[in-house]
Amino acid sequence: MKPMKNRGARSRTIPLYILPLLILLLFPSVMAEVQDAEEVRNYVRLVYQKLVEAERRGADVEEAAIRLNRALSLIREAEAETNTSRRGKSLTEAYNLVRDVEASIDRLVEEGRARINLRNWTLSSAAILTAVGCILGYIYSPRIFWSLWLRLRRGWRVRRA
Amino acid sequence: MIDEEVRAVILALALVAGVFAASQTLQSGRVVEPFSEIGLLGPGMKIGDYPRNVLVNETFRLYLYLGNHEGRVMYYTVLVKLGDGSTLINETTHAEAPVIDEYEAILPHGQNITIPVDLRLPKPAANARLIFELWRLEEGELRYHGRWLQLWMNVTAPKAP
Repeated sequence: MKPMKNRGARSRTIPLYILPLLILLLFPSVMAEVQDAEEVRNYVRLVYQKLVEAERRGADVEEAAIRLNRALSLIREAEAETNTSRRGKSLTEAYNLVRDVEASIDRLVEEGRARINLRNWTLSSAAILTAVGCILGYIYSPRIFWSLWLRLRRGWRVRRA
Repeated sequence: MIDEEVRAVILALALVAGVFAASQTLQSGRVVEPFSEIGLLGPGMKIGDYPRNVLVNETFRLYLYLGNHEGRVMYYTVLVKLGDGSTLINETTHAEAPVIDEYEAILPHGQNITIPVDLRLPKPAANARLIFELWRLEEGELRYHGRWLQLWMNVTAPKAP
């Protein structure tokens, strides 16, 4: 049996020489380091607002907040740095951290929603089980109580007083 | 008659246990009284041993302690201001004094941070008042949180050789 030729494959393939150009166009941070500390700080504040909203919607933002705080430390380090290259490196690292946090927000909200659903299910199940337990206890407890009472005293002898 | 009593006892026990479990579950994680902490530690990271006399442009180290018990992630900014005996500051009014430095931190609920603070005072002053004000980012803008600290210092010019 001959393998089938995929005639459309050639037209759908991106030529290799276009790839570096695409990377440079899609990721501007690759082209140049960030130099403006205030710009990164504003970005941190913007992502922080999104994080607050995500937390309000049930997301666990602890890790993300720690990373944003790390970004703030890097900004401060960059501001104290006189060497332009090291300053740019710190700011770029801070920018990338903030960008990663921003990208993770939707996932955090989804996870938070799932956790809230699970919690609600657990609470509802516990309430239903408690109610069922009460009903069963109400119906069967006298029978259980008296059977246990008799079992514990089965060796007893009755004497007329 | 005895069956009814047994039933009543079992039902009462189940109800009490159920109400207790439900209240514990619903109350867990709820912050009754939200608050933020700000503290100032001396060079040895202890409460005390604060520098009282420094030279002009001499760098001295303090530690700033921040704690978040607000029940949500917080963006804090601490403004360090240089005032004097006449500078007015209280829980509602922030000091109208020059800002000499600024520190930022993003903290998730229940966490704290200790930030090293290196300061230099630019001119001689008797009874200079170093003020640390806690601000927080709310809806995109910084607002005074009403918490502040102060350190009284004498700043003297270095003696000529």
